[in-house]
Amino acid sequence: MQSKEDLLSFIGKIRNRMNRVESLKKLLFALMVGAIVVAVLEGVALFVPFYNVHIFALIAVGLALVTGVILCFFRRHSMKDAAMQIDSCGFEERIITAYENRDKEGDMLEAQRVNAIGALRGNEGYVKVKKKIPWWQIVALVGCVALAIFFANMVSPAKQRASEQHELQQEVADAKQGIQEKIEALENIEKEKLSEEDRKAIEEMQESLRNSMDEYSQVVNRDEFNEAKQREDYKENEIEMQLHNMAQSGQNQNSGVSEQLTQVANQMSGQQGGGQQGGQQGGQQVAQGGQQGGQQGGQQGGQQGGQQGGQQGGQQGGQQGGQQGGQQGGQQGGQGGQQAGTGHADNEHDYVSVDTGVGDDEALVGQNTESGTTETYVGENGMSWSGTHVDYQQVIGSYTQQAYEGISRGEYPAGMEDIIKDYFSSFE
Amino acid sequence: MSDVAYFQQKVMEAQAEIGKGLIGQTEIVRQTLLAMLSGGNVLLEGMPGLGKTHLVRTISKVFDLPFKRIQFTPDLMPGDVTGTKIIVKKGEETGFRFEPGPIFSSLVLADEINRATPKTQSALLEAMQEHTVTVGTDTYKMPEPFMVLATQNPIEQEGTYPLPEAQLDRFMFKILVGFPTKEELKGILNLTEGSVMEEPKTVMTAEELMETKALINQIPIADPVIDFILNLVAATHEKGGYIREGASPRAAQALVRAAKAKAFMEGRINASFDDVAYAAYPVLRHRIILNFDAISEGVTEDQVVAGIIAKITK
Repeated sequence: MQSKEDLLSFIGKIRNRMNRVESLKKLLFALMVGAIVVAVLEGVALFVPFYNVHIFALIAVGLALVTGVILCFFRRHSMKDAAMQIDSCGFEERIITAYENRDKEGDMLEAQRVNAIGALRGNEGYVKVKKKIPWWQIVALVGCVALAIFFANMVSPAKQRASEQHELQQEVADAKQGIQEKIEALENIEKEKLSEEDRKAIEEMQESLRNSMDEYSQVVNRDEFNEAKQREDYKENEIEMQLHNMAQSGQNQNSGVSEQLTQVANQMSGQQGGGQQGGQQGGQQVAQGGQQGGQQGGQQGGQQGGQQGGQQGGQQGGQQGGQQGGQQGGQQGGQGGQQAGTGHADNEHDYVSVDTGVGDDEALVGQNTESGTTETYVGENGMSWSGTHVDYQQVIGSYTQQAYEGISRGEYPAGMEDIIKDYFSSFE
Repeated sequence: MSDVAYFQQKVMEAQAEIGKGLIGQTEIVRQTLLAMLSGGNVLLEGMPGLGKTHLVRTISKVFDLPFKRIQFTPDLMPGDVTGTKIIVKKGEETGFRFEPGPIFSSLVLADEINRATPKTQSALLEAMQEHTVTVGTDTYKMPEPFMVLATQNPIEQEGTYPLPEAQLDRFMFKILVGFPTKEELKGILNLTEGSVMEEPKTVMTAEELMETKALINQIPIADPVIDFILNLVAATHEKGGYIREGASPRAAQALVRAAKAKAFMEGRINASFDDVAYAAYPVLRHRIILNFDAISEGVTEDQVVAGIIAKITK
């Protein structure tokens, strides 16, 4: 070391060394703080449902690192700090005095500078920058990282609840998304080609679907979700049927909107299993089929539900006939439809003949003929069979009674009770 | 800057020469020299017979400076110190002539200053501060260099007039002269009673001393060291400790000058923290007033100063 420039260069080197050590210390400290936060978060997640805890933990570590980097930048050591550090190694403030007066002239100042350089020459190796990191920081960092990993891999009821809750929320979001698409599909129908009545019906369908969305918003557990889903499925099934009916009306066929209606109707059931839909349709057909008789309803429900369900429903509906058969057939059809799940949403309705020799007819009011044959004719209310006739009100009453008894026994899906009651009360 | 090295060498030789005649008084010699090089005055407190007069006489010989001793007594008048005007007759005319007092000397030993009345004390203190003496309407300048070394006995307080704080503040250093150890006393006896004492040699002249003082004044002092001095003085004013009254700004000035002088004496050309810490004791011990808690607990000024330095250094 010979000159002032050498002295300044040496001070600069010490400053850089100090800044590197300080940066390391600060980053370690920041990481330690981040690790503590992560360990706390992971620990809390063992007891409190917290699905995204790992993401928050990563964010905490990231924030800690960024803070550490910012601290490193704003708390850098200056040349003055470096000069003081050099003096602390036994140079008795020679270096800081020389540094402060580096740009000043004067005999005494020059002599002092020479004195400082002379003292430093050959003794640069004695200048040390302490790299000691507090041991407790390292222990805390390693300990917290180990603890965080341990907590993260532990299984707890809260974590399972969080996972379930997350899954539920995903399903709710998907369901709401699906409903929204259906509402938009209904919105896109060319309403100007529809009658006033049909337009009003479409608005009611949209309102009904919005209500389903609201129901989903209030879901807090799986049971409520299932209830809301069942109600949604029922509504969409109804809407689909209404749309199909609207599509088949002469006016809509002539105006060319029939295809739109059919597409939207298909969209209603497009996300459901055909069997489920068939089963629901079978149940619905039972409710609607009181006029047509239990056998028909059961068969129809069974057919639309899929092969297995259709056979069961058809057989039972055929054997029993009347109220109960139709009811059971419809239910069976619904069950069969759920089991099979292969039915097609675009199956058309169809009327079938039921062999009266099959099924249990004890609960039914109607009677079989001994000859085993039947004659049909077209009456005022559609297809009829010759033989013993049962009063309409009696049939309705019997169906109503069976329905209410089924409600009291809890045979119907949750949420369907009110719908069933409303339906039967509409006949009064 | 060969002059710096030359005068540094001279000062070290002077210190060694003074130390030859005084056994076991190394620190006292050093601090007295520090005050001299800083242009300050010294208050020496110690028991009688510890070599205070001998010290001043030796210094006067080493630096070839005229030396006067004034024994302060209760009946001493200001004129006895400063001098007075006397009537002189020249032929037919009569006039007044100023007859300078013993204070008109480069080195003045004011022995037992606390025995004189405050009026007499103030006559000396004007000379210490201003380096001038006013007699009547005339002001007379002191010779340069000028230094007062006052002494006082710490135990014989009866019939004394303790110096007030405002006047104590004018002394740059207060040096405590302690009793020598057994070995040091043996050395003193061997030196003084066993053989003829060698007269000290002159090492520096008055002019060289003045030049040295000018050089010391130019020694740079870094900002962190200035901050240290400021923190030290400010700490004497903090509430809640043992200090009732803290040091004045004159203490900060004294610390700066003393730190520079010490650095020079040690061959450096910059003041350091250690220089300030060393000078803090003689500069502050007579400038801080302890409260009753300190007196009742037996805490001394030096202990308080040590506590302050430790706190600031941390």
